[in-house]
Amino acid sequence: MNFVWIMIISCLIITTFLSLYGIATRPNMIKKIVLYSTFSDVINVFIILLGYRRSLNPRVPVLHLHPTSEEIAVFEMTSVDPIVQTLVLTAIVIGLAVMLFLTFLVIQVYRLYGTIDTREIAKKSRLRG
Amino acid sequence: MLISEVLLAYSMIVITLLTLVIIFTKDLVNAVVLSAAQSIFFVIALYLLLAVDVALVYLPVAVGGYSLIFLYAIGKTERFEKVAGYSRKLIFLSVMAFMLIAALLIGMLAGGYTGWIPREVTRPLARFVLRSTINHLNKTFWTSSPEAVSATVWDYRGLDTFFEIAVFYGSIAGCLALFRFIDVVFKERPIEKADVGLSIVAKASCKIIFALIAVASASLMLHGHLTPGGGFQGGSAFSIALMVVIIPLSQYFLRGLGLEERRLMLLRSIGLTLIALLILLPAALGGYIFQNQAKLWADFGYPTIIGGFWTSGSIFFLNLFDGMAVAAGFAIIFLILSIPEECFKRLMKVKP
Amino acid sequence: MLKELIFLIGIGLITIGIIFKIISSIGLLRLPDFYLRLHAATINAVGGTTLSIVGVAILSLVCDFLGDLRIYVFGSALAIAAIILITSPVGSHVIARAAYKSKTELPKYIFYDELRKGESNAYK
Repeated sequence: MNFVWIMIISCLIITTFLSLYGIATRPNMIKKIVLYSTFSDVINVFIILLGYRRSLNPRVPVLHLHPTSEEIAVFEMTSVDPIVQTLVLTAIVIGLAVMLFLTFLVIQVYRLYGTIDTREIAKKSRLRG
Repeated sequence: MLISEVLLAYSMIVITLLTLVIIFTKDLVNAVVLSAAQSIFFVIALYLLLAVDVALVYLPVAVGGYSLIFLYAIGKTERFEKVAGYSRKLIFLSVMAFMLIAALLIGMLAGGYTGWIPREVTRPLARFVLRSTINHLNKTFWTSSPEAVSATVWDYRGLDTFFEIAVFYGSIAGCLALFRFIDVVFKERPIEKADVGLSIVAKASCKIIFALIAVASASLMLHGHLTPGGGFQGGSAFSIALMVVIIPLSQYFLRGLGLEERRLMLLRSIGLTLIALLILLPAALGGYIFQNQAKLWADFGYPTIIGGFWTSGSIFFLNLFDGMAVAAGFAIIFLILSIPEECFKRLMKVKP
Repeated sequence: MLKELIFLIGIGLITIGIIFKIISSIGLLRLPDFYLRLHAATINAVGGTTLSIVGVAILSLVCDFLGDLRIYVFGSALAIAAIILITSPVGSHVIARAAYKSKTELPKYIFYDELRKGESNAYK
């Protein structure tokens, strides 16, 4: 049990660093955006992991319409954290909005410069002054 | 060792390996398809971590939406990445070594030596939400929705959600501003209806699939306050259904039905206006903004049952209007992406 | 008796699906042409996945530990099988047509080329 959780958290951290490395060193803008989406997804999974309840049978935070007080007490003690999930829901929607606008900006950059390679864009913009 | 934890570790390893492949592949189409595959593993991980709402919003957005938008962007720009002149093996190896040590250290620290990362007891705020969301005996803070995530999205943290909708609206407005020659394009080239789209097999089967996805998204949207799902989930799923129509039947099919950018923007604005009315109505009638159920100090509450259907106060209507607005916004994005790039280049007088 | 029969039918369908999957993955590696490899990939989806999921649906009827949930598992598995049966052949049809029309992959082993003969009006 211990080993599995160490593995999960290590893989999340490795993926975070790897996607940051890719964003920093790859020259193509679309590659940068794809890796940025991976980065934000890893962070979202990590936030979800903070709200997970490590027990034998955790449950989804959904109840039925007419619960008794005993059912509510059991629900409170066994369900996972709903606040963290709503935070990630908001983060995904805002990330989607940012990603849409970034992609459209890349298309606009290609129209203006004829390339989406950051090195060539740097050269061309230096020539233009 | 539970089977779900083993599956979680497996999907995490696959995600890490796929990230490596995405970094080093030179074909961008390859990278986008592998990123979609990675997103499927993220969905599995989110489902295993019992975040069903997040998995449902993630499935249409990341697997369908992102990959389609990136593929359109690649089609409008370049397909291959030029990596000549980049040999940075030393940097990569040092980054890898640092990363492995850091990951193992943090993983071991988090995995039991300084207390577990997934704790055994949730936080007091989460327990408060879980206790009071559908408590019939103590209605001081109740929201009348049995789904704690929807209740938090539209009741406890309503203003945050409104801010998120505003950000999405602003991003779509920015995208439309970058593609501002649409009217000129269609004034110069009138819409021809014949001879567009894929073969008749693809058209016929895509109509069936459109019906299936539309029903699924309607069930997500209309039952979002009772079961996992909600406005954004249903709206983005419906936009994927629209995409299934746009690709085989071509954009001229939707334009022929009258679904143009301006009308979709109008639909989106109507949805947002209805949301604004719903959240401002309690403030006018003696409550506060985003009030759903009656509180001790603010005596205004939406009815929980309308015509035998449990609506959870305003949450059902907020989900419905939000889904409408999101579907219209996505449809705008897909429509303006499916216009050929040559029209814009000619209008912007770009040198070939 | 009936329960064991249903159980055996389910296991048998899943086994047949796995055999289809093995055959199709061998074909993906060994077949010489793009279109033939696409054919092998479609065998995986239609034969392998659909039969396996129908097997899971039949198997779930006799799984007592699922309780009342087994009806849901049965129905949703059948729906998934139907959707895969509709979508995956159409997907490979569209891929093959796109590869032919954009001339990225020309068929090596072909006896009668209907698409090229009627290029002006046959396929729109």
